[in-house]
Amino acid sequence: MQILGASFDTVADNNAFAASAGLPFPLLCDTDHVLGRAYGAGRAGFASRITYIIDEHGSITHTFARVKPSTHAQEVLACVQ
Amino acid sequence: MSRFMLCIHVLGLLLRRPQMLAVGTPAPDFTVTAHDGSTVRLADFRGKTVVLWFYPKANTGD
Repeated sequence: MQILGASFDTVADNNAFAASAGLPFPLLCDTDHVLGRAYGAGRAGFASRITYIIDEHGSITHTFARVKPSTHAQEVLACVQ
Repeated sequence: MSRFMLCIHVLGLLLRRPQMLAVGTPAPDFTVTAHDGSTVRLADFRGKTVVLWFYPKANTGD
């Protein structure tokens, strides 16, 4: 399984975030909102707090529209395990 | 356009939320720079399950 984080933050901001939180996966810096537009996460300002699970063939298998930070990791893990 | 209709129109624009992609649709490919400066392509992870997690702001605990 591969986790990809994504926000509209710059490389510098996400680099600091990855270091301070010890995140062992890539944080995508969608400063042009290309990803945000393609995935319905927003086109300006801040990205929406949403998550997708994409299967090994590249198809979307789960979507999470209202993510609660405190329980989201368990929710996602339950779907991919 | 009446003032009322204009208000409704502006309210609609303000409340409009981006539409998420539906389950079963192909995930659009992308090429984006990651926090370490590397280039990440979704297609590079074919054969693996990918969790694509959008968050509003770096370092906010979300």
